[in-house]
Amino acid sequence: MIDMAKKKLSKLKRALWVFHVNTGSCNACDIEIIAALTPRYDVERFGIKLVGSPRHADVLAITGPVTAPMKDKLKRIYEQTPDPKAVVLVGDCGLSTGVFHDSYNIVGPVDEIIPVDVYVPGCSARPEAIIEGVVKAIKKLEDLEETG
Amino acid sequence: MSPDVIVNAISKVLPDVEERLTVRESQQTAFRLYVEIPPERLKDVVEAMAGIEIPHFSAISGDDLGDSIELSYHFAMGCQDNRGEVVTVLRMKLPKDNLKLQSLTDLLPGTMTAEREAREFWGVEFEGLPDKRHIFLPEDFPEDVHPWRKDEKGLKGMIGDETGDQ
Amino acid sequence: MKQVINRDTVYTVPIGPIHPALKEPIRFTFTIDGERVVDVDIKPGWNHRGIEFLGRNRNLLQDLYLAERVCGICSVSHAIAFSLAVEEAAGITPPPRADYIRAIVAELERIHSHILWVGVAAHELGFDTLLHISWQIREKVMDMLEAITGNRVMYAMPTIGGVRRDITDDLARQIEDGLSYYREVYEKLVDLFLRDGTIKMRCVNVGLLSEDEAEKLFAVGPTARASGLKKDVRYTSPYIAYRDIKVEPVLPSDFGEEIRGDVYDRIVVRILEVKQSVEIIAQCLERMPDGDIMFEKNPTKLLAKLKAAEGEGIGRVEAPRGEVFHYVRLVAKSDPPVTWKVKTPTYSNLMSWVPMFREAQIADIPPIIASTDPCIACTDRVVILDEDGRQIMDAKELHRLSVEKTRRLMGE
Repeated sequence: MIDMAKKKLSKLKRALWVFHVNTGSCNACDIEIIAALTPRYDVERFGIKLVGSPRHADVLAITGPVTAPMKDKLKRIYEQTPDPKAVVLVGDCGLSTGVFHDSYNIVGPVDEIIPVDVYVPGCSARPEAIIEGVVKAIKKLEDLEETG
Repeated sequence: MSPDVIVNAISKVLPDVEERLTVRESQQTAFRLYVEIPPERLKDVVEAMAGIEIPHFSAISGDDLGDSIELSYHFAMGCQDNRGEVVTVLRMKLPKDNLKLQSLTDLLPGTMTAEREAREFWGVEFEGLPDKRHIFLPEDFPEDVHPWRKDEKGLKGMIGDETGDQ
Repeated sequence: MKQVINRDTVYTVPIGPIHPALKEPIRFTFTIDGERVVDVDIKPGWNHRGIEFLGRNRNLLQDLYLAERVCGICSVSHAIAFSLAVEEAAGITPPPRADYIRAIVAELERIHSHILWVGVAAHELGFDTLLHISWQIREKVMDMLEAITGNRVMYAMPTIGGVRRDITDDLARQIEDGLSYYREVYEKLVDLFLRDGTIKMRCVNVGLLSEDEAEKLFAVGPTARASGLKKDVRYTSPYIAYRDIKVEPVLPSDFGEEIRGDVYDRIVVRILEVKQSVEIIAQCLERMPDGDIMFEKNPTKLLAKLKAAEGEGIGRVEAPRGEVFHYVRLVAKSDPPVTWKVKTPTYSNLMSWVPMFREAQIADIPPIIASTDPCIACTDRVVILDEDGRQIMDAKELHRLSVEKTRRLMGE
């Protein structure tokens, strides 16, 4: 699976800057996102890197079920990210709020707050799956650019 | 450290302590010493314990018993002794119409986190607590809603399942 | 630039900064005067999910699932502590072999967590090369964890009454190979992190927490031990296999250092604990008893027994960051526990941050925050206010200042 992902990545015409947002996750998916970007999985040489501000990002990588205080922050980050952009959810929390569905402090899932392009399930999601998700996001961006 | 040393120290401020305690063995080595104390004696008892040595403090757990809230303060004495730790739980029943306790923060500053948490989740007032802001609940969470109380009606509307958001 | 770690691993230093994604939300508000911190206010809770509240609406095996997800980096510690609390409340004794397997997974988790942290700390200081080197070194323990548990993180290994998967002879050999790797690579870790002049300049006498302060603020874990406290639940109240295998609290003096309780001492303790964990795992493999791994294999029967149980129990575990505490109270005929209290190590270490920032320079804020290994390493939500309460700086700016300070000290 890793080789297929890398094949697709090598066909990329652009570098990809990713901004990560933690909306209340337990951190398992977050550390797997970083692991996906360290030498073992070796995607940084395709120009994929994490950046420190949404204003420079092409892709938002989101973890967590969205706690109440994070809702507005998430919306603001989405608005601050320039178009064209793609939103990748990493982990079951973002998809459906998972095991936290009946909490008083959870307002997710994410796609009820901002539009989502790619869903990477798992609890936690594996680095290979995260890379696959990022590849799909790149494809979407390239399609967006071609069509206008 | 042993339960006897702790019970002895507490007996100086609470002479009937022998009738208030349960000692249990544990598969995790440390004895568990549970002591029921009157809420207004909390500070005295903790001072007596601190007179032996500064305890470790883990957390305050609670149980809503209907008319009252039972709070348990989980300390650990002998917290640097090889195999010698004794988990010491001070247990108090607070009537719901008088949810008040003295703050321990001037004696043991580290208790502030737990007191702020007990305040927001149970509605207990701590006399002398220097910081009464929300700690784990959002800043704009209503002051009079206490999520861990069984008679709390104020959570309606916050839970996604109920509002049909999902 | 190429670095050879061992015969098979060659990697290149990537170009460009990496921003660790450990931005679990918490907010620091600093008031500064010139270059110095004058005051700090800490507001956690941005990732409060209400786990103890949710727990009252689920059965105990579902709550075990929740417990694992309190923290994804030390999830095994929570699963074990929760299981221990329930076992105490219900009067269940896991078979001895299960306790050894639990200890092995717990120590593997400690290794992964400490190396992860050391990379994050390096990043906060501006050493992204060290972030990559250390995370590469960490991958071996991730392989070991995946081999035994089936997953890299979030293992679902401990259960109430035991563990869910056994360690076969083949897996034991894989673990031993992994331990050999870490014994070989250990000196390199020490060289890179503990013998580097610039790291010393950045970290010695920075973020000081005295022994007295640590004691009264109830600090736990490496943060407490770096200040000289012999607090380690494996030593003071041994549980699972630690009842048979002695664990001494690691102090900075074990590295020949005087104990100062600074950021450097916290690095010392964690690096030395990697070695300690390797040796504990080796002992566990050597002494592992035969036999069953679960008190009750059938979950329906287990749940039935738990539903009938009445009692209370406390589970205390030494997680990588410090004491994890779970308390449960069970009442007969109830699936859920009537009370469940969770206390994480970061909870215990929250107040210790305050003295650490006393007289700190702004550029030292990122490494000081990171030094307690909070279940967050987050400068994402840092706000700097001037004396009139106006925001003058954000997290990115702060990180940049820290990196610049390192460059200055290196004479670049």
